[in-house]
Amino acid sequence: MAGNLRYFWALLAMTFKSAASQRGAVMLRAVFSVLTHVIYFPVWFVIFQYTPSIGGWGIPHACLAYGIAMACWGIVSLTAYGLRTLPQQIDHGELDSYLTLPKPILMSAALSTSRSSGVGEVFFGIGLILYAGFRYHIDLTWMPLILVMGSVVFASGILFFASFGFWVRQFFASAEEIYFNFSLMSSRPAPIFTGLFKIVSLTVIPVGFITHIPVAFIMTHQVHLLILSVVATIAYAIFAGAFFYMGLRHYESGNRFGVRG
Amino acid sequence: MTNSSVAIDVNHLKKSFRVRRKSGFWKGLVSPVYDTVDAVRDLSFTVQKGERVAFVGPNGAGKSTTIKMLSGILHPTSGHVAINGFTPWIDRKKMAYQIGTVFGQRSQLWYHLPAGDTFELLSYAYDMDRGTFQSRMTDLVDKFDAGHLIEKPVRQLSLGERMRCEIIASLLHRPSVLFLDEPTVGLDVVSKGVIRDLVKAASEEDGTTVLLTSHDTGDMERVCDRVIVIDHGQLVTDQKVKDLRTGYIREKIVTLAMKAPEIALDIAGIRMVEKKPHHLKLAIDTRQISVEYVLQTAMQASSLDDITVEDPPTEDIIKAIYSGVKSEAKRSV
Amino acid sequence: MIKYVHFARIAFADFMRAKVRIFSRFLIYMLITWAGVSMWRVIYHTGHAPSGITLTDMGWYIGLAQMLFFLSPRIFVVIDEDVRSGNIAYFLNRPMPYLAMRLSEGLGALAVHILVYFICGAIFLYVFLGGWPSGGLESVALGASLLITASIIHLLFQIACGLSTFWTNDAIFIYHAYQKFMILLGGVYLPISLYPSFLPPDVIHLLPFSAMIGGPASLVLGGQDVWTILALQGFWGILVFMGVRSFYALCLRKVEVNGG
Repeated sequence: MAGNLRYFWALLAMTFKSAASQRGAVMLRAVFSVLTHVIYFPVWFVIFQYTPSIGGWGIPHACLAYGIAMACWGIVSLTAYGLRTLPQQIDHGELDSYLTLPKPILMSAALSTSRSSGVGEVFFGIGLILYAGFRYHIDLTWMPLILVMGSVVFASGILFFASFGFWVRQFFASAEEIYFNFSLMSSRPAPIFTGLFKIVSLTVIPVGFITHIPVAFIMTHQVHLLILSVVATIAYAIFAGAFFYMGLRHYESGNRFGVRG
Repeated sequence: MTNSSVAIDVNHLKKSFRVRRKSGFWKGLVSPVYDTVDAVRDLSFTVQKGERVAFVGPNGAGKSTTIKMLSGILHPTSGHVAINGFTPWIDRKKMAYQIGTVFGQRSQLWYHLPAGDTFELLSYAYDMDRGTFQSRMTDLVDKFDAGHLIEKPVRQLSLGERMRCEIIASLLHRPSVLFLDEPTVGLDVVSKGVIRDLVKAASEEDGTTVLLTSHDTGDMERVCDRVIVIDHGQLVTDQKVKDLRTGYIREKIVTLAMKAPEIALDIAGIRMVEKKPHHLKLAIDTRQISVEYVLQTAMQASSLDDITVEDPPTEDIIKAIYSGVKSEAKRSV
Repeated sequence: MIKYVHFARIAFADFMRAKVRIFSRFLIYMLITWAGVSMWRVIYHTGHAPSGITLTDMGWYIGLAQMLFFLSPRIFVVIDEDVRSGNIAYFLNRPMPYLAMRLSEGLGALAVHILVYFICGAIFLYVFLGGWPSGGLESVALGASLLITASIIHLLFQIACGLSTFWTNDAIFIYHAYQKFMILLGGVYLPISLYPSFLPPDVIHLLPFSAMIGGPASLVLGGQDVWTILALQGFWGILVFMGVRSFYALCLRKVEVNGG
C-alpha cells in the first residue's frame, strides 16, 4: 500500500512536470477556460431574468451547481485526464506499458496525463462557489468533501463511458462528446429531472450525485442527503472500476487492426 | 509446478480475435457477422533460465501476440503459460517484478521529459530503495554509455539513443526474464550492432533469460543461442542457431574468377546464380554433387584466378523455412 | 470540381459505417433536448409561460436549436490533429487545396447527419412533444433547411478553430469557447426574443450565432422572416469564409517557418 502511494505520488509529480514542460502556453489555456465559463454562465442570468425560479431553483442554486461542476471537472482534468483519453489509449495499445508494471493499471493510466486548462476551471468553479457563499450567505463548511465526491463521480462516469472503448473501436470522438455533455448536464437545475430522467441522473449518468443532491444538502442541511451522496459515490466508483476491469479482459493491445482477415 | 530451471513454459497456447465482417448499413446493424482469426494456435515450447531465444516469423505470424500473452498484456483464448512459475494474466503484478519488456514500436519513456525522470518513476513502480536504484542506474548508464542521453528530453533523442534508454529502463529492476519485441526496428546498421551487443552483454552478466522477436536475422545471430520459427501462429522449427546452418543448408555458393571468358558446367545439381565474362557464381546442391567435383571440373576447363566457397545467407535459410521448401527437414523439439 | 464531390462521397460512406458514433451522438442529442424541454415544462407549470408560445412550439424550438451542434461533424478535431502531427505539410503538395478537401469531407459527413437528424430527429420530436408546432410541418421544414446553410457556416468556424492549433497547440479549448458563445448568443436555451435588456434582442439578432441557431429555430414560433435570416447567413457566411481564407494564408507561412 505504501509502495503504491509512493508510486502514485511520483507519477502525479511526473505528469505535472511533463504538462508544464510542453510548449503551447499553459497559462493561455487556463485563462481561456476561465473566459469560456465567463461567457457561458450569463446564460443563467438570462434565464432567471425571464423566470424567477425553475421549480424552486434560482440563481444561488445555479451558481453553486455550476461552480461545483466546474471545479470538479477541473480537478479531474488536472489529475486524471488519462481517463478521458482511455479510448485512444485502448485503440493505440498504450496500456501495454502499464500492464507490465507491478502497480494498479487503472490508476497508472488515469494519473499519467494532465490537462492544464483544469487550473482555470478549478479557479472559476471555486470562485463562483465563494461568490454564491458570500452573496447569498450560504454555509460552505462541507464544500471540500462535496468537491472531492463530485470529482470521484465525474472520474467514475468518465471511466464508465471510456471503458466502452474496449468493445467499440475508435470510440474517442463519441466519448469526448459524452463527457462534454455530461459536464453540461451537471449544471442543469435539479427540478427538471423527473421520472425516467431522474432515474438516469442517479444511475447511468450520475449528475444527480455531483450537483443536485449536494446542492440540496447545502441549502437544507438534511444529513441523510449527504450520507446518500457518500454511499452513492462509493458505489458508483466501484461499479465503474469493475466495468473497466471487465473491459480489460477484452483488451487487444492495438492488435485488432493488425490482424489479417 | 514447473521445473525450477525453466524460465518460460508455454503449453498449447491459443489466441483468437473476432473480426467483424463488412456488410451493409442495416444488415451490419441488425445481424453483424463475425469471423474468427487465429493469431496463435496451439503453440508449445520451453525456455531454460539464462537462455537467449529468438522468436522469428513473417508479418502476422503471431510473434507479438505471443510475447504480449507471455508478458501479461493479453489474455489467451486457451492454453497455459508459466513465467518463473507465474501465470502472466493471473499473477500479473507478482510476475511484473521479475520481467522486463521492450516494445520497439511503443515507448515507456516520457516523451517531453529526460529519460532519467522515467527511470526514477520506474524505481517507485518496482519499489526499489533509493540506494539500490542509484547504484543500478549508474552502473547501467555506464555500461550503455548513456550519461549524456539521460539528461535530454526524450523527444530530442535519435531512435537508436532512445532504444538504449528503453533497454536501461527495462533492466533497472534486474528482471530475470527480458522480453524484446522488435528492438532494432527502424535502426541503422551501427545502432543495431550496439543494441545487440548491449543486450547480449547484459544478459550474460546477470544470467537474464531473453526472448526476442525480430524480422532481422542479424538480431538472432548476434544475440541468441536458439531460434523458434513460427508461422500462422504455429511452431515451424525450434533449434540452436548454429544448427540452423548445418540442418538446413543443402547448398553451397561457389564463386569462380577464370582465365577463360566462359566455361560450360552442365552438371545436374548446379544452379547458375550469376554469369559474367571471367566470372561465375554457382549454387551447388551438396546432396547431388560434391563441391570438390565441381571445382575439379571447372579447373579442367580453365585455370582459375580465385575461388570462394560460402554458405547461403541466413536470410535465405529463413526464407526457405517460411516458404516450406525445406519442410521435410522440419524438426520439432 | 468533381474531385470535391468524390471526397464528400467517401466521407459520406465512411460516416455511414460509423454506426456507434451516429447512434451515440443521436442519443446525446435526445438527452440534451429532453433536458432543455424539461426545463421549459417546469417553467410552464409554474405559470411563467411566454405569451403566444405553446409548450410544443417551445419544444420544437429547443429541438431545432440543439440540432445545429449535431448536424456537422467535428472537423476541427481532424484539422487540429493534422496540424499537431505535421501531416498538413504532406497535403500541401497535392493538387487540391487542403481546406477545400477537409470542407468537402465535412459536407459529406453533414449529409449523413442530415439524413439521420431530419428523419429520426423529427420523429423523436413529434412523438416526444405530441405533435407539430403551431406553424405546422412547413415551418419545421423551413427551419431545418436553414440549419443546413447554418451548418456550412459552422463548418467554416470549426476550420478556424482547428487552424488555431498553429498558435495554441490545442484547438479544443478554442472550440469550447466558440461553442459557449453559440449557446449564449445563439439562443439555445431560450428564444432571443425573450432576452433581457442587457442583451438587446435587436442587436443579438444581427450576430452570426443568431443567424445560425435562434433564427432558423424561431421559424417554428413564427418569429423572424426567412429572407432576413438567409440574408444574414449569406453575409456572415461570406465574411467568415474570407476570414478563414486569410487566416489559412497566415497559417501557411507558419508551416514554412516550422519546416525550416
